[in-house]
Amino acid sequence: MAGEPLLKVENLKKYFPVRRGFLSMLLSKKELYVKAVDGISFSVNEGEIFCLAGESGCGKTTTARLILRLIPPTDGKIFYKGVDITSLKKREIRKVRQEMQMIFQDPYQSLNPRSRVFDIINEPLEINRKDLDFKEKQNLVFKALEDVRLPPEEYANKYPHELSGGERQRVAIARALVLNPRLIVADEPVSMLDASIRVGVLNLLLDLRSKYNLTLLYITHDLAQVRYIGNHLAIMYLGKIVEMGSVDDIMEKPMHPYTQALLSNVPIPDPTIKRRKIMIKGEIPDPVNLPPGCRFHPRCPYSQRICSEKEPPLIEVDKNHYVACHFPLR
Amino acid sequence: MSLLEIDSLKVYYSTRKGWVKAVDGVSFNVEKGEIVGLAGESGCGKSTMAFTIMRLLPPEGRIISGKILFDGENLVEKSEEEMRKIRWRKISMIFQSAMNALNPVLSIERQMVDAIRAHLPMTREEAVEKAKRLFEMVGLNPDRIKEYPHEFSGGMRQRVMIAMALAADPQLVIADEPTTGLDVITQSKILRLMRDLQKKLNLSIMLITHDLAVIAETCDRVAIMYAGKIVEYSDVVTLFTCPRHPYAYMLISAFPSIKSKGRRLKEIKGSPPGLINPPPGCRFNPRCPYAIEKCRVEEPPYIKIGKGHFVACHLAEKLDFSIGGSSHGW
Amino acid sequence: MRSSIYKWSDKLQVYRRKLREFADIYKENKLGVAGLIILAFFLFMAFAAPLIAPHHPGELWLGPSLHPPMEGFPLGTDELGRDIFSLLVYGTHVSLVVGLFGAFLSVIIGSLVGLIAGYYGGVIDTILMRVTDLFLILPGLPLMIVLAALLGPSIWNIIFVIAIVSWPSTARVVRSQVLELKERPFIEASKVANSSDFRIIFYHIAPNVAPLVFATAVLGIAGAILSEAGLSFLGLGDPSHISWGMMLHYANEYGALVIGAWWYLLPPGICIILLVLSFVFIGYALDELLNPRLRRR
Repeated sequence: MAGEPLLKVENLKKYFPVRRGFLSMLLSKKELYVKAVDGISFSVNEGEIFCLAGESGCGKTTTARLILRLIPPTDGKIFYKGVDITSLKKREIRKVRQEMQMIFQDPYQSLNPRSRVFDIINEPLEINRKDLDFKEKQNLVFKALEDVRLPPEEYANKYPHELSGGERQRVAIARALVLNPRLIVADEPVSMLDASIRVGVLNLLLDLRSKYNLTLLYITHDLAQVRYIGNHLAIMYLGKIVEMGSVDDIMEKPMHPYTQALLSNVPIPDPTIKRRKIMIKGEIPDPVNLPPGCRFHPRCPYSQRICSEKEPPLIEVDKNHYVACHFPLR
Repeated sequence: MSLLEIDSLKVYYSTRKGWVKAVDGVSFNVEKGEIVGLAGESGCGKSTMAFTIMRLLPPEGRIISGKILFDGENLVEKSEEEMRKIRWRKISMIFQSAMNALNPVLSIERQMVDAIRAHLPMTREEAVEKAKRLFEMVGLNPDRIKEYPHEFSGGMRQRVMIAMALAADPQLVIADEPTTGLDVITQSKILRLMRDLQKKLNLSIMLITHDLAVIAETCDRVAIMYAGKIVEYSDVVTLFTCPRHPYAYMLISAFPSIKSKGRRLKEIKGSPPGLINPPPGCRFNPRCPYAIEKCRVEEPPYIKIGKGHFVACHLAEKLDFSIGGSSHGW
Repeated sequence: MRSSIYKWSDKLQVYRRKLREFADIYKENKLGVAGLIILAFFLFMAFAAPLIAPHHPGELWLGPSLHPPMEGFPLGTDELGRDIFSLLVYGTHVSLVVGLFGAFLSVIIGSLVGLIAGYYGGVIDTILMRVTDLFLILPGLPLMIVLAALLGPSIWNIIFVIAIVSWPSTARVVRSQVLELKERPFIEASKVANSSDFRIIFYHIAPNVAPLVFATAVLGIAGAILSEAGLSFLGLGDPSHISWGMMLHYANEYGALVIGAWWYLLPPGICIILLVLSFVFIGYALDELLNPRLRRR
């Protein structure tokens, strides 16, 4: 269905209860929650790379796990290909999951140290494609290895500890590709790799996207990666989306004070560019004790009274450019 | 006379499989009052350099040859007794993940006072006073000195580590990845703090990191390390605008930036070599697209190619990489 | 198209190489090597028993009662005229069988409990852990004595009793490892690939827990041998399979201590000590080598 977004998320929420000591439970009945994801909505079109960016603790990783139904949402809906998958039963989820795969951040921990590369990539086939015989499965594994530019003869029999970080990440990508998914959720896939290897993996993702018309939900804290690989971007802060739009629009005309500050503080590998960095006071607050109104207001240089009273909704301020701020900067 | 002069330093680690040549003939200088960056990917030997200067190598690490002249005195020949007087007082170090190095069950005041009194002759009251003044210097509220590490955020803990490193007024501070793990805004604040303190106290700082963007914005001069050797050393503007070593050029070109649009970055094929049996000749030759026969056989000499500009490459004079301008050629 | 590379022979090659590397590192642990040597000696004794022992151990009245070592009887005779040396040699069987099977059963039960409790958490974990605690609290030796007395003197009952008493410690060790492992991304990756719980527990988690369990198991063998010796000494052993512990039991019953029959008392005692020590040494060596806390990546 053309025009229908591949993935749509509506008012998604995930609250984690906080375990409290016995005494504080006696003294106060109020339940404390970490509102990791607090009502976010966005849609991802087929074939695009949608970036979810923000600092640690903003809820982006939790969002990834919600979409793949690794954890159940507290509220909200997730639509895949127009179908509501939020409360699907286990058996139906398994079918959907074959079309959605994930790449994790840590190349050293995301592969079973006791399995060979072949077995690691073969596992999704073993579980989901029992209709295939061994030869067919083997061919698919080899094809996946070739797709990620690891020659199968050399790599299939190796163990993870014999591979470098970049090679392991490629194996993880091959594992994600082998079931022919439509959507791949990538959680900081290159953040733990060396600089010279990162670009290789990023280019690989771009090439695979073109070759297979994949859709990527790319999660990172590094805005430079977003600029390089992303089409659309949503900036998260403390569980909410504060700005959303195309990567170019946001990077050239950021409208939320937080986005502005972030962009001005990202270091640039060019000593000839001198900029004035926007210094934001304070640190990211405790997610259990969220400030009232706009979550960013205690640190915002432009905050006014209304910001501490009323949460700003995410509204379209410019064509396809959404901001959640009472006084968006133009 | 330079504050720190490293001359042909070789540091190897003894392992069951042979000698790991972590630092294999490195020479460079740090002048008074400048910030020098030591950049390179993981495993290139930069942390080993830091530990060697402080003479804090583990038992497997041996200084095979070379000199480390600090204020004219060779640190390699110093005894442990003598080094104890130098460490922290003349040269101090901020370790990687230092913000996690604080003991969670002791108050910060207690830890700072213990550390101060271990190195400087002071009464407890004097040490507390000094700790408070150090807090002010790094922008922390001195009244919070009695709190515990978990009550401080990551950025604040890092400031505590900086404060402790400066307690005895050292001349040189070695900072090993001081901002890894911090969010971008906090990272900017910490780096700015370091630059301010450096100017105010006329410190020299050796900043070790893999993040070229941080180096571009913070350092005066930079040395790029690869597989235990320095491949290029110059002032920061020269390095980023017209590097001479292929690795330096390719590394800088492979760094995504929020300012660069659309251009596809080129990866460096292959991965850094193991340091037990590095490739013969120039260590970068297996991955270097410009390598000629000589590069595979003979190690390139480390020569001066301009004012304060050193390169180790056989083709340094012929290659011309101008970044931001036309493409390279020779 | 391409030849199949997923061959068992390839996996075997990899295993052989890993074994050789492991052996190289193991060789450096002096105690471990000593343990292996002693164990080899006893294994030899066990397998070559029919060749070494001059007489069948059960044969009565081959010689005079309680006679010190003499011609044809290198370690003398017991109260029923049996050859002590033969008894000793054949006693190796009992100790090894009970030790190995007892520890094996204990490890199986403990690992299963630990895997399931650790992986599922919640109510299942609580129930299983409380059961484990219960067994931990019950005093081992008295419980073994009572059970052995109730169940009767059979070698299999002894094995069972030993396993029942010693599985909890394995369960706890396994559970704590599982708790750490299940958070790792490769487990999540498996879930994303629609892996069943069974597959995750037995295909992913168990092999990663196995090295640690192996080390604990070897120490468990030592404990099992000692337990069997103790139970037999108290008279609860199987009279149709005379173990070293039982030899000590009979020796005591028939006043060997009083008359100073060292040839009856010392050999079984020394054998017990040596065999237990050998497994302790090996177990410690393995623990050092395999414990993931001590050797990262």
